[in-house]
Amino acid sequence: MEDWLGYLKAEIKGRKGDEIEVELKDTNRPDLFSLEGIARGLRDLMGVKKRFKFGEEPILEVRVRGVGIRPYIAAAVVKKVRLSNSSIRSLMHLQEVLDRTVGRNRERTSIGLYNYDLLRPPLYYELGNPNISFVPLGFEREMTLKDILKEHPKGVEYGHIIKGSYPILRDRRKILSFPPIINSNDLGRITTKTKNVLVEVTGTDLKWVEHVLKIVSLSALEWGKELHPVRILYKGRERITPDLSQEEVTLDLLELERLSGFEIKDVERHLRRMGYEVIKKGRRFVKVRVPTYRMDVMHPVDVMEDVLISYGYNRIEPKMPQLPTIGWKDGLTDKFREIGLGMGLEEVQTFIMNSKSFLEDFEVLEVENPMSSSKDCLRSWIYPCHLEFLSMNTHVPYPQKIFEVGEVVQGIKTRRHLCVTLSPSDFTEAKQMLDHVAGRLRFEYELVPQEFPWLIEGRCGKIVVGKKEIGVIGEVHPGKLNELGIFNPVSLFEIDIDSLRRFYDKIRTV
Amino acid sequence: MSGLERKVLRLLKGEMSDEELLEKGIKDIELNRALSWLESKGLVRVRREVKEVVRLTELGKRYVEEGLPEKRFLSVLAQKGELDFKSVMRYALLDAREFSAAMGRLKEKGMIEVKKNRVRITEKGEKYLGKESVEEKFLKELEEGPKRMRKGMEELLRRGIIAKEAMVKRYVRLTRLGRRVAKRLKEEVIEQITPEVIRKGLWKGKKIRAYDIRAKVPKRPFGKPQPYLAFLNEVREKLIALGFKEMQGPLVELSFWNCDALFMPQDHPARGIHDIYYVKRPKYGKVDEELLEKVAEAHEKGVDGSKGWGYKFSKKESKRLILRSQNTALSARTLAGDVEIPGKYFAIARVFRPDVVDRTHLPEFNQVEGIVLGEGLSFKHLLGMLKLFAEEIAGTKRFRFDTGYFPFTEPSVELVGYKKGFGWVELGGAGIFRPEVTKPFGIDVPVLAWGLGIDRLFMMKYKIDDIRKLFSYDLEWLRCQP
Repeated sequence: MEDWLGYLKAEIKGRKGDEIEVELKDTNRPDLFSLEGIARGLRDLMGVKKRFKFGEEPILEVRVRGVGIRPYIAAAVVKKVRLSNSSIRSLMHLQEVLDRTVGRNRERTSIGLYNYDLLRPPLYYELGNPNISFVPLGFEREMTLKDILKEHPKGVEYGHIIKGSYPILRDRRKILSFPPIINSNDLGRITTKTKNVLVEVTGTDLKWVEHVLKIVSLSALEWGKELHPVRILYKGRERITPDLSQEEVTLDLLELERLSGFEIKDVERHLRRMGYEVIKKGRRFVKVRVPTYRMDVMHPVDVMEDVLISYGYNRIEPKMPQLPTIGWKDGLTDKFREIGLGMGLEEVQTFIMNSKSFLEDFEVLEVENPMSSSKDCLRSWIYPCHLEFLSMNTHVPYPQKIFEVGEVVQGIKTRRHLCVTLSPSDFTEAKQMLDHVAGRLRFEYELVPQEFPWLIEGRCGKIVVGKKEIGVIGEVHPGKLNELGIFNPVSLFEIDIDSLRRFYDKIRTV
Repeated sequence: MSGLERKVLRLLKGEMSDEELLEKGIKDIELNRALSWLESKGLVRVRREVKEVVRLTELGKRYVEEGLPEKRFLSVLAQKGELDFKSVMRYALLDAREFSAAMGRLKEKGMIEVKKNRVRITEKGEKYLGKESVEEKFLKELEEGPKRMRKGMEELLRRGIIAKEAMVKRYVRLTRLGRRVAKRLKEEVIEQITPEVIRKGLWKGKKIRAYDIRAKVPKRPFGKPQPYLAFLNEVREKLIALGFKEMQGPLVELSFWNCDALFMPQDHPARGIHDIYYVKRPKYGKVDEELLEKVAEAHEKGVDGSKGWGYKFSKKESKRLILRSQNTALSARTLAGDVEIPGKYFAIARVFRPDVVDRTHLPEFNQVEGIVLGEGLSFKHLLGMLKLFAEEIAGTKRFRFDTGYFPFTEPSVELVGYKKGFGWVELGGAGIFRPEVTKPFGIDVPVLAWGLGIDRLFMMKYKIDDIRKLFSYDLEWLRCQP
């Protein structure tokens, strides 16, 4: 089974009794998001045929009357179904998954299933009065549309989508559903006794509405025998859904050979195994019909991948590319790491993300959608992160002399910094090390007294090279140390190494 | 006679207490050992006195480190002003017992004022907070070792911060025999190799005292690379040796490079707020308009025989600033820039994804990704590269290729390898860039793209099951790593 599923980009994640849990990797193949879809795929692979009847003429009409906010609807009728509890569960699952994924949480599309035999055609898709009422699925009593938004769990969850208007789908007598919120409790309930099913999709994007309908109705058809189209009457035009026409793609065998790196014999067989219908085969070109439920085939490469999958990735002999390229690295980071290690410092790596409340004294770039307040901004200096590091290690033997070559973000610009943080230590030692760094890179610097957050005024300043400010040096203020629970003096310096590149370029040997 | 014994003999002058000897740099255990040997050989005489002393309890040690509850109580009030009881407990990290005891004490001494469940610091309290109390001074002294009980400190005993203990004090003096031996020692054995010893040749005709070279020495830290960075660098060097060039780029990226240029439709679920961090301010950056036009066309209508996604592309959305969520963004930038054909490129760089930190998730981590491009490259070559990665970087000869899906590659493939002790694990993903990705950049040769799950490899190698260790803030752990 595992091998078969591999062809469908699916993977077995777990087993329980005679059930297997399958993970689908291709998020662009909603047609596989169900038991029915996988079964159809496996059938093609194994060469098993199953015949269905497809009705030619629409057997139902839906009249659309200006549902501005959610203008599109598509529908189909699946007849002679035999449903068990597990097949109902499977269809509900597909409905949920599609509503969540391609339906973008029902905003773009949402699906409804109904007992076709209870309907009194024609159907109307229109805006309703918020005070009309019906019995929503899972409830016993009638509720007005307004109340459903307030009291029904689905109304609370999805009510925001309709933005104050109330789309309803009804027949001559009753309300079928209040899309995309909830179905009615009688018409919209599918049971093991249901013989004929109406599948309906509403939404904001015609292409997706009709495509989702195709997927759901073809999946439901796996439990039945006949699929019949429905006529949708928009103002001034009509559409018959589902549109089961198939696109044609011409495959260039020479291109296929180029892409694969070898010649594949029996391409037609592979195409059929992957569900394609071969309609013309020449020496160089093969014309195929793409399965109607496949929306991911945009370019012939999509078909070529299917051929390769059917051929079997693991049957292909890997070949190393022989390209005359020369490796290259930016040695700037390496140089400063080497200097740091040479000074006997312990290297650390701290997070670039931090919390705004911890870094309140610094200018930082905030993110709009943090998952927690402990990670809601990017650091602009490394040294506060080093003090955080030291504060978490006060029980570890001293001296703690650390360094890091890491990235910071100032404004929206990414800069690489070297930060050296020493404890217990004093200004002299920090400056000795800065002197050493300057000596190794052959640059000269000047220190200009200036205040910096968390550092002692009068014992800190900016590091200037040429006319450019490239960093900071100083002793940490005892008040800050006390607050962080660090009871050993700390001195530090931090420099922007990207701005020292010209010096590095001069001393570099290769 | 051992080195220790010699050392003690040489140090002894008249009668000395064990404390005095310890101050001369002999360790406690060493002294005990040396004295028992010397005593049994009749070289020293030891007089013993039993004394009562007090020492810090575990609670006491904690208080010395964190501060006494009443001090923490006051300092919170001093910082935050008037507070209710709960807040005091929370900010000062006091449990209920500590809190009520401290409040009783402070109230009695008039250092705080309590009104209807709210407390305020008084002037007296401020003064007390500002200086070190006698109790605190005493506790600090006790940190160095047990001391004699002092007057006025009974309350510390009652509070269980200090405890009484019996201590044996020893007074040592040389016996007559000991004095003779010590004298000879001083004459003949060289203890320290001083500049004088070297310059004047004082070692001649004398013995240099032997050390117990098996004795343990105290630990000290040395400079060493961070283990995860060292590992990443090894991988980096390997890729460079394989002819790859390093790519670099900004952490604050444009949606354009991170997604649009990679043919991810703008309403793709992986572009939502659960997968990408959006920058709060500024919201938009700049994109080359000509390039933007081409990419927009690929999305809307398709290029090179593709249908495209068929939706209305938003150029504004493309200019949205985000945190780089995949290093494929760097590959896109490279393809649009001065790219060499044939060429091999890679990046080991930081990416960000909205996640809460736990054992298996980090909101930022490093990714290794790259591209290989050149005339005549094919899927076979892609597999060849993955084979090389499996063998050279993941260190396994057992591997297989699974089908895969990435929005920007077709065909796509996953590399799965067998690692002893872990079974079959996903090592990386790869594919050939879709024409919709490469054509807008004017690239006409195949581009093989790959990425490796490097964090996983490191964790397997170091037997780590907590991903937070990659950015470890635990210096003790870092010091133990190879």
